[in-house]
Amino acid sequence: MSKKKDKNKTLETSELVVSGLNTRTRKRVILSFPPSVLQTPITYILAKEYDIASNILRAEIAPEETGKLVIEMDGLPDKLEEAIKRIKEHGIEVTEIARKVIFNMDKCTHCGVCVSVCLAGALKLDEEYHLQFIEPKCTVCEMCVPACPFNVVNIDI
Amino acid sequence: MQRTIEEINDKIKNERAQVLTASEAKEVIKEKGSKYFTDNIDIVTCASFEMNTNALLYLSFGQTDPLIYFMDPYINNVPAYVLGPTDLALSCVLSSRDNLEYGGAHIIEDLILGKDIHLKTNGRNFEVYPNKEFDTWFNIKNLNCARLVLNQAINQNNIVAANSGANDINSNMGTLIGKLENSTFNSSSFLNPLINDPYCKTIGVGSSVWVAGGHGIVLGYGSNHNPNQHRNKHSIPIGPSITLSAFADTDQMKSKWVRGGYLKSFGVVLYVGIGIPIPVLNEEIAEALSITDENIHTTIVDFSIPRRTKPIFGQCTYSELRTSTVLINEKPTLTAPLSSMAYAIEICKILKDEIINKDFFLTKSIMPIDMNVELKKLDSRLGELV
Ligand code: SF4
Ligand code: SF4
Repeated sequence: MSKKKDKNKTLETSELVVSGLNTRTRKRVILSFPPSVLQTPITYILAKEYDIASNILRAEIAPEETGKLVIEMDGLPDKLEEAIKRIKEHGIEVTEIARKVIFNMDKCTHCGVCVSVCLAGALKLDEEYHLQFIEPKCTVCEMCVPACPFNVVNIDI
Repeated sequence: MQRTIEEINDKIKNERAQVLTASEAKEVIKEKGSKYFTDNIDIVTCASFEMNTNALLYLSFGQTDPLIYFMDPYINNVPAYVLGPTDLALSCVLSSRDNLEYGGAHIIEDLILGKDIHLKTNGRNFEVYPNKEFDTWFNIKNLNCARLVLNQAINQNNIVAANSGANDINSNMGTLIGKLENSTFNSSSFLNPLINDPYCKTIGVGSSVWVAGGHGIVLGYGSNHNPNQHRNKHSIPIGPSITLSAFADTDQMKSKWVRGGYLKSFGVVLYVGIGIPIPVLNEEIAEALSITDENIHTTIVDFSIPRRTKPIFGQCTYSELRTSTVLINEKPTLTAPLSSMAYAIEICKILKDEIINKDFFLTKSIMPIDMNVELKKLDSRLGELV
């Protein structure tokens, strides 16, 4: 399968985010490889079998040594779980990096712009019209980050 | 019962004026009726904290030695316009040359914060203005005058924006997700001064207005003024209608109420807090003040077509919009505001306190707002016979 095809897949997926039906989320993980599995084509398997778009953020691979790969995976939540299990079966150590959005409320005007793009329903205006962040509902889709006119929302990794 | 502005100002002086915020006023009218309200209440404070464009900062500098006539000036790397030897106009929407997300509106905020701001300018080649280049830092204390001119300070009403297309649109109404997944609106509805005084019976040219903590004056109607907009049976226009232009000096302003913002694909915007007191001169004015969100309608517009005339999905009320879900084409759609109600409520309270503390008085307008203006279009003259 060519690279091009993978690209098409990611395009489709961004449409999925739009429709908001099956919300895709992102997960960042550190993969530590023993020398024996350095050749495993991870990103290929992720894309082909789990419909996960992956983005390599950092790679430290030296021959005959353990390698380290920091990747961001974008896919449906259950697929992400399955994929991580599969990677572990290959003898690769997986450490998840918790990723969350944080609000610098000192600068927040409670305008509501971020609420308008939060299809997960994690952002609400309360009865006094103050912004409320219901973190358990947050899928870390990051739509609110560029939407805020005042740079209040940031990603914490 | 009739009251005059002078009588109300006397009451303020004697600490006898009865002042309520717009939210409080609606409760009292609902409970006790407009007759009681007219007899007992003098002033109602209204406010908005909305996204603005159509604004500029007028800056008047002192002279340099040797003398200079500014040419090609940049303020924090944002281009400014020369208005005289040392006077400049700074647009609130233009961006810095090295950062798209920082622009005139942010400079206005920084100036009010008291920050040092960079000025770099050339000089025109005139005999008595030999200074050809100048580079300095200034702050609000070094200026002869820093005046904010808001040519669309208050909007009577606005629309709801949605997008029926397949792809997301980044618009002046925020990010509109395709297939009607979300919608946005931009109005302080029942707190808005022009919703509470829908025909400008008490607001006119020369009326005093609270601008971001400073005191300013209404100059007349503003940009995109469209008083002929269709109105509902409660006299409320169902879309953008009356707008007011106002100015205020920045020296008394507080940075909390003047904020530079940035919208993706629309650029730099200015959020500014405006407050207007409405004098309860008679029962007719009291009745207009009773308006609540159930009776304020607005129009849902489809942004998927970037033309002057866009398809509409019909009307809804602000009480529907405030529930966060509105039906568009029978589809429940997420909806959220772009303007801060929390800040508008706070401004109503601040203005009420200022009036009670004799810091803010009413002014009698010297002329009514012109209601016989038609909104013009800008069309190409290509092909026209000359
Ligand atoms: S968009 Fe930004 S300023 Fe507005 S409510 Fe959300 S976090 Fe606050
Ligand atoms: S990242 Fe922001 S927009 Fe996305 S679900 Fe969380 S709060 Fe909502």
